[in-house]
Amino acid sequence: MHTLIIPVIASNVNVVSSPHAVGLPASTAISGFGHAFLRLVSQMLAISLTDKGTAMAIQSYTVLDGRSKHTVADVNSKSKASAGDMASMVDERLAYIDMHLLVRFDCSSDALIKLHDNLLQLQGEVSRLGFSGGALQSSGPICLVEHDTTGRESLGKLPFDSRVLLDRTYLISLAQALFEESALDSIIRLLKQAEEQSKDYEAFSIRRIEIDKRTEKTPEDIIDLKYLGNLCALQVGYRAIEEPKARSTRMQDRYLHVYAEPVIGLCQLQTAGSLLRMDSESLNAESVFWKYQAKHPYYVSLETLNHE
Amino acid sequence: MMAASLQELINTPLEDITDPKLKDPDDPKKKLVIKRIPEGLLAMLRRQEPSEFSAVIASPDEYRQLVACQINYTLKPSPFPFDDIAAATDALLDHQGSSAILGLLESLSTHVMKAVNSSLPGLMIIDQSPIEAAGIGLCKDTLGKPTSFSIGGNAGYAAMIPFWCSNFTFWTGEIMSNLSAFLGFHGKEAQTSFEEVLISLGASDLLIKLNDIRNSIQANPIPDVVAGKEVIFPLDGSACDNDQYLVITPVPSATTMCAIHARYYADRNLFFKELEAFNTEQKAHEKAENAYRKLKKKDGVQPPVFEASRPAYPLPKMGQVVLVASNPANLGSAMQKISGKPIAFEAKIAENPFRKTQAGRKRLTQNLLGKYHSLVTVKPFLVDFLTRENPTSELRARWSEELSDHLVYAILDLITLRHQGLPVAEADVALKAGSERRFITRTLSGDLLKRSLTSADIQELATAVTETINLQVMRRKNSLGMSNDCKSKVFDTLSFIFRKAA
Repeated sequence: MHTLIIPVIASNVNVVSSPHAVGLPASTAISGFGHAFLRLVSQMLAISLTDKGTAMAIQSYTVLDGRSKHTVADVNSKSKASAGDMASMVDERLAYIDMHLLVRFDCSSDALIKLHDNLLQLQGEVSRLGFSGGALQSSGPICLVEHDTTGRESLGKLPFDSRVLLDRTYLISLAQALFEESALDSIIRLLKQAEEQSKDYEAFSIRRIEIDKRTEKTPEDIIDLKYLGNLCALQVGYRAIEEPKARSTRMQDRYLHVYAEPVIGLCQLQTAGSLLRMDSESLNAESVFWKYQAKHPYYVSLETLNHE
Repeated sequence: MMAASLQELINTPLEDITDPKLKDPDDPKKKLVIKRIPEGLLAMLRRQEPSEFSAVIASPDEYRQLVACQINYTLKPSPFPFDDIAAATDALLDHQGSSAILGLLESLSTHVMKAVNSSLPGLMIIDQSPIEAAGIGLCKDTLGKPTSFSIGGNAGYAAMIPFWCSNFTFWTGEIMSNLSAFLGFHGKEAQTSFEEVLISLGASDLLIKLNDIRNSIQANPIPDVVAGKEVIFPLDGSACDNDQYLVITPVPSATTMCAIHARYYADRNLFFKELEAFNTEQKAHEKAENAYRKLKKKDGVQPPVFEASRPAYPLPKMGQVVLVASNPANLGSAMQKISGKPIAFEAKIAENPFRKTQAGRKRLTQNLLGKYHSLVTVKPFLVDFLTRENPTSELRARWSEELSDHLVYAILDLITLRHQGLPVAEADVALKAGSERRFITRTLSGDLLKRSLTSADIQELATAVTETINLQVMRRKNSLGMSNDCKSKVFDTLSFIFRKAA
């Protein structure tokens, strides 16, 4: 397993990934970029690559406060135009993200050599791709990390303060089972708890929550003591509402089509430095890389479909 | 659940509804009264969820009265008595009324298309897929709510929404709305009673058209047309080679939207926003409450307390109508914008404290260019930490562990500059403290001009920083500074950090 570290600046990224979660690009956008990039590489260099997931490490992030689209003006009796009565639509949120995208893949050693020789050319191809409705611009040389099974080596090459997007969707089912409530209540409970925890960690006081490894850990303790970090909701994929059918799409009938509703999961933003400080057992590199998983009716991009 | 019979509700005092924009031509200071509705019916007609104060229908005649009330709600000025059958019949014959009823039924959908403008025609999608046991994240399987439908389309049809969606208690005890009765969720009896009511109000033509729409819903719940975005999803990792993809069109579910919307308004202290104003449902609820109190006082009789038990019918594939999407003008749009605040989970990406903002970067640049003495910043919390007393061994151990985290804040600028490089040219750096300047300007790989960073440099820097911190401790605590033990620990930690960062 090898990793490509691609530093990019993405502008005009649409961070309204679904009507229910705003602020981060969807995880399908992240893994989508990785897949599109590998496809481009395999076509350009005529090599065979297998997609093993993509990670996103944000260095800086600015988002538009949002603006409403124009409403149709009304002409009143005095022939003056005034803002219409209709509610203005779609709050547009665009972001400008400076990040590193880590694309993980498998290939033969010949393909690896070919890839190694063409890295500079690939850097120029990055701007051909898009990211969640936005444009990409390469901000540095692409780095190829070979034989990186755990992903730790590629994480080590990132700036220590860039924030890596980690998958925490399993927390929802954990909290649901624990508190016997619906998924919506669990999400709200977790997000509230994360925010309360972050209030305790003010800028000028540092406190560490000790998890005593010697005592018995009851399930309640796990939720209470676990440091949730900067927990956010984001769209992680789709849930099909029907069987895939043959409809005419812009792919000209090559693939089947399905209508699907978005699935909301949770993610955590953790700094690369703090990730590396975790010991090898707890650093599960799999949670860093978002992978496509298709299990009808779920078409999601998660680290694992079933978490222990 | 409080409920009263329909006749009692109709007999409650009338509430004047005024249009804030229109003035009464007779008295220009007053607003024009456009409708007069019995207070007791307001909650039923305006509230979107099954109301506590729901009317109980005891016979088909009362059902006809109820439907007449629902239709007369749309009339301006309101007829008196409110359940005037003739007025309702005329309204149904009128093109505007019947087209509103038809239009609303045609716009029924469980999933809304992601159109940017609600006036664009949308797709009618009725989701009939079964619920999966093992759900992931937040979606229809894990929401645990009955299906909500989105209904609306043209804002001109909004007045007829109470006709379809207001809830009442049927004589079998079930709480239902005309829409759920018509679609057959509550059995044949409710469906046929509703149809008979329509016929008795002279709307048999309308009924034929409604039946046509219902049949087409059941025959073709999801259209064959692809409208909306197309996301191409690889079905496995080697899709680059074996071309296994699926085209997905995302359609947000009205159930999730309504659940989030209802949860938001239910909990005023929800962490992401606080409710700032009452909505009309709340007002209607309060008015109905007052009407009930007056009822009680007037007759001296308790209104019948009716415990409605929802029967557990075998889940029809189409689910149960619970809530109407809030504002028909917003339908078809993926984001609901209500008074400027979207109702959605919003990711708050707090600014990384390590990352300097533009202002911070400017300050840093100025500090480098001007003859600033030192880049070490000693904050009060560090001073407190260093002078903290640790009587037990466990506390001492913890102190030692946390020492490096605290010290990093003091030397953050140095490390950041070393790590990321200088924002100004090397020759322009006018920092006074020589050891700091060397640390941030010298490269690691040595060159012939003796400009590499040696371990002696690091030691010198660590000593300098320790002395700076000690000076601050002396100043702020008005004491003799850190103890020797503490100083040596700080020195060791700092040299370790610098060596790592170099």
